Amino acid sequence: MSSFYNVINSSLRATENATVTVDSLVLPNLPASALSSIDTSDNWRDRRVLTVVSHKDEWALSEEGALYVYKLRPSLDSSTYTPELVTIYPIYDKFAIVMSQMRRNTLDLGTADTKAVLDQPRSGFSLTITPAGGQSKSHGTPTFYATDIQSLSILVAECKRLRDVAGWSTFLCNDEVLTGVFQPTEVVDPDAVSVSQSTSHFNWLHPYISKPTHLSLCQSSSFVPASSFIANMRGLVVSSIPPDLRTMNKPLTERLPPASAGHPGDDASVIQLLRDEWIRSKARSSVRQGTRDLSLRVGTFNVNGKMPSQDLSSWIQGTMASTSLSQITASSPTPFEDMALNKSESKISLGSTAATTLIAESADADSDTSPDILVLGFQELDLSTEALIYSTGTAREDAWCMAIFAALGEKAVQYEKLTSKQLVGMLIVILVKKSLKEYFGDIQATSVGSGILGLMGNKGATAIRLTFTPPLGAGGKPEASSSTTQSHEDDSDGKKAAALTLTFVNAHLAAFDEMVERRNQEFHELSRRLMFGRELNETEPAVYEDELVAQERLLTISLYETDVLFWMMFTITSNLDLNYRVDIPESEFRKLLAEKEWDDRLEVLIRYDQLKKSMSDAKAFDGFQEHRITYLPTYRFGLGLGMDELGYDQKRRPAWTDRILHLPSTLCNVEQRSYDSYPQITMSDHRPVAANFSLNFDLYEKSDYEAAVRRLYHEVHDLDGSHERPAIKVEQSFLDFGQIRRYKTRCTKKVVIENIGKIPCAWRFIPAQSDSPIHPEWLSVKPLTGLFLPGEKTEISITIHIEIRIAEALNLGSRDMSGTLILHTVLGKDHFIAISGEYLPSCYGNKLETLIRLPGPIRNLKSSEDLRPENHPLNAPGEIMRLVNRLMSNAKPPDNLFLQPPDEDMITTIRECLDTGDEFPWPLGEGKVEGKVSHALAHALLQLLDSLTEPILPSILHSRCVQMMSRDEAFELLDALQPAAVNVWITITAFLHFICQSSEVPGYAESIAGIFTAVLMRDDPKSTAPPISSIGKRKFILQFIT
Amino acid sequence: MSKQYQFKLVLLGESAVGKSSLVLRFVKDQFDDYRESTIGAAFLTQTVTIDDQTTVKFEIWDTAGQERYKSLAPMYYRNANCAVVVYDITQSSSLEKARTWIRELQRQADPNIVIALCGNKTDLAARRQVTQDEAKKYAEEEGLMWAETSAKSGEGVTEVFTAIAKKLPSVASPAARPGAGTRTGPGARQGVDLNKQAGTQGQNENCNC
Repeated sequence: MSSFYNVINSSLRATENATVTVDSLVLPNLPASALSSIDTSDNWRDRRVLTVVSHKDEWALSEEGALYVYKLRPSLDSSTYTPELVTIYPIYDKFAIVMSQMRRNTLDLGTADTKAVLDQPRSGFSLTITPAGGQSKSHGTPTFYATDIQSLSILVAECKRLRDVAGWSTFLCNDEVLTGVFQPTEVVDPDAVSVSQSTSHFNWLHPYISKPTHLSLCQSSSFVPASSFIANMRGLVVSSIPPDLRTMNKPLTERLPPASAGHPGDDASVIQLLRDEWIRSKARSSVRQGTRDLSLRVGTFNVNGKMPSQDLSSWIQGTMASTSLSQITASSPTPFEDMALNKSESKISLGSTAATTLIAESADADSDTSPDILVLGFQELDLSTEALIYSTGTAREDAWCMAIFAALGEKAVQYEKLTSKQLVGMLIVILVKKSLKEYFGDIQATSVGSGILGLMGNKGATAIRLTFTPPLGAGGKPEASSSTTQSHEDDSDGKKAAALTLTFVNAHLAAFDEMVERRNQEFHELSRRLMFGRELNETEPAVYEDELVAQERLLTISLYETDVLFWMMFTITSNLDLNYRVDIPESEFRKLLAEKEWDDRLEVLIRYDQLKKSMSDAKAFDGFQEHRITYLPTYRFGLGLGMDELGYDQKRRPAWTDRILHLPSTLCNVEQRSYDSYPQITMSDHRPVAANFSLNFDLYEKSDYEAAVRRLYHEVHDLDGSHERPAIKVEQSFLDFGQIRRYKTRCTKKVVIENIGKIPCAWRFIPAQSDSPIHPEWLSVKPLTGLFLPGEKTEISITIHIEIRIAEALNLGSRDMSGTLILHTVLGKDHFIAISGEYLPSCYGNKLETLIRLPGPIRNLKSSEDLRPENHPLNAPGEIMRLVNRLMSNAKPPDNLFLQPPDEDMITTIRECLDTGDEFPWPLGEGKVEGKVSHALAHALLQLLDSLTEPILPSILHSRCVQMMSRDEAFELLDALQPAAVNVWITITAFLHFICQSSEVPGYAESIAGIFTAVLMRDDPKSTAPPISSIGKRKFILQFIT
Repeated sequence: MSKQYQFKLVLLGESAVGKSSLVLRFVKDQFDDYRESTIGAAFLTQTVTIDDQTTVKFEIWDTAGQERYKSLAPMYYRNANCAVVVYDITQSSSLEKARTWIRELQRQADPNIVIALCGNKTDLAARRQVTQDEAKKYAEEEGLMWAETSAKSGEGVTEVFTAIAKKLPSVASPAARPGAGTRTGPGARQGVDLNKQAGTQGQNENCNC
């Protein structure tokens, strides 16, 4: 038996058993003299441990076997070795193993040193393996050399026995089946995987085969960073390389292989995914010593070939340099001052966090507020033609670095340049605080050109990857509740914290308006080609070709194998897609930009931004996040002649070309604190952009984590490897939600499930059919997957939530809300959880056309056949009239109607009365509550109008509305509306006119107009019509109510 | 050389007629007086030996009988090779329900499906409401297999499954070939002669895997 027997056997699942292990040397490239003692440390590369693994399935009363070949991977100091699975040979059919005695007389006794000769065993045997599928074309017959005759005999006998029990000899008749099972290193080919999965024979081998199939679905060339099972079973959990962010950011349910009722699918993969997820989160929480913050400032600047000639401190430090404002105003004909002031106002309205950060920064120059890392991306550093071909040295880079330090002012002494990477015009520079520098490491840089011929460096990207390994104990922010937060000062020497990996990309993408598609393609190209190398401790020569391939893959790390990814870029967007260009002339766009009173104009205009569109269509930058843009377009500013009033070049449509995105991580909390441009820096035709980020991540010891993973792995070892079947108890298998009255409200019920079996149980909800959803759209279920140990309970929340869109369908369609959820326990039963509920229709959430065809209260409507005929509708919805009449019949309405917060319970009662036709329970004229009732009625009216699926005045007419200059013109426009809408409009505005007349609140009409603009002239975010200023809309309404 | 076949079998019938008990008796030779109602679907396997040469492995889906879950039954009986529709001989209404299931299977399941009608609870023969003649006559009219069983005493249980096993290969689609339609875990599959000689297929012929 090999000394690795115990290690190997404990790495197998419980259903598998290593019957025999034999130490051997692989033969092809061994010199004869190496055929000495197997157990020496210098020949570990050639050593192989052959293991016969038997799999027994008690349920099927069958046994299958396979021959596993392990090679050895040395530990860092080469003192110990870990077996690593490289090849699996399933034993059936033509599988054969032939043992023959080696001729030893050719061995050269003369050259070997005497000791080796003495240690040499007296006889050796060669083992030749014939794979079950016959000889593979690409791989020769593997031959091994071994000396332990006793173990060898057992091995050969076991192989023979297992081949005999595999009585279904020709079952696997397709060669492809074999490749899937036969060469673990080749399962990256998705076809091979799917074929091999389609057989129920040998599917127990799947967990040992390196690449989980779900990974092959993602577009990247990412590779699970080890082909061994030992690495694989924890590979995604403890590898020093973080898993691919794009995969990790997907909800677990989307990563699981498909399944439906009666077709549980690939349970083995499900177990692996759920187990990894469970181990990862449990291990993290059990070893967490608190959290650590890291602050970043990320900037991007297209310098248009210029050398630094201006103070960059506002951009570098994030302060609004008020002294430079006058200078800019003087040097430029545009009213920058107004713009800057406007900007700072909008920043304060941004939200408390952003505002406080900025105030803190400008108010106090304390070093605490300055970021730990500064990452600056430059584009078009050098526009000279020779720069396209030759790297022009570091002159420009040095100049910019100096300018950066100069801009840091007195803080410059705190910082040090960590690294930089330049590719022709693209430069990325990283500065860190000196006090933290020692904690940064593993710095790797890469670049990819995608300019002319796809190679030149005028376009493309540079990227830097680094790790931050925070000191344990000191500097961290330990949680008060954590019991493990004793001082680590003393013992932190030997222990290492887990590192956080950060990746930064500085990209310059395609440059023409018409090239949206090309730019999306470029993004994918860069995503694929920006790879980092991996430093191996030792270069390991590969023995077989397939191993070599595997190792080459291991040498590279994808851009996305990181904890957080930041992407700075310059990309010329036209702002407006071709479709929109017709609707929004450039002049209109400039006019809207300049409309300073209109606070949310940027938000409306950015809707037409191509990058945002690509992101939301998932055509590029899928999953990336960008903070709300609150700054004006950063390109293209004119220098001198041909500028518009904001300073933009007349010839080019102003655009947001300079952007900073990030891809968040589930393991590191990323918070963006600011996102600004710095218009006072005027040296380029672009303006620089910068963003502050704050990262917060778990602080824990690497070795503790690994130990926890091992321990947890053992806890769930039985998950797929036991003869026991999982058993759970669902405490509530029927949930009655009763009558559901209102849309927009949530109703949650809990289901408790308990693991009453003897083994851990992984579970997931599955749909009834492969193409149907897991649950109806009005339901949400959390969590959708899980794993728990025997005796544990899990609570599942099931929530009914009816949005307007769903309410509309329910109001007229079937009111029955029932369904069955299917909870599949992996390798076990399907459990049903029945849901029932009755939707009570409401006048809230309908089309206007529906409301005017209601013969009475909507609750009395039996079916849509009872609706009034289309040609005999009501003049206006009864419910709206009822609310307005009641409000009008009040002798003196409160003079702050609509401005006072309402009593929510009263609103509920009012809505119920509208739906059922019941009288309001507050007789008119009861002075005490009348004021309160009026406020509730007013808000009930507002909500009813807002719940209409289309606004009274559809968005298509908004552009005409803002052109109406007089009341007469405004009234004329109403002709374009359908009669019921006109009636509602007139009724509402007449009522508003009345209350505005009688109110003494200053600015009352304007406030009312603002409130009703958002409701009666609601914006349609999906509309292709040009965006309309809310100021114009408000003016239109004011024509009616004043 | 022995032959191995594998078939998907589904149990249907009204709630509380003893479907799960029948399976428990067949698979584990156990009986539980106080079994909880099945709310879901359980998957089990059992192999029966027909003779020295032949074994049949059943992949059994035991489904919930309650009316509430009726809409999910088709998910479990699709692609089934055989169905055991169970009624309770002490409840005549359960035979009516069984007729409904059989009509549904005839209409919607695989046309080659083998259906066995099974009257359970013969240990309670004193309270019998469904006569053997009535059920047998119905089964003959519809061309079904028919048997009476007692999951409690074990009477007739293995016999039903063995009878189905014996009937199956002869009706299994001739298209069934080695390796055809097999998949991981419980799932649809044709009856498969796992031991067909390679020679009959031709050495290089690719099968329709």
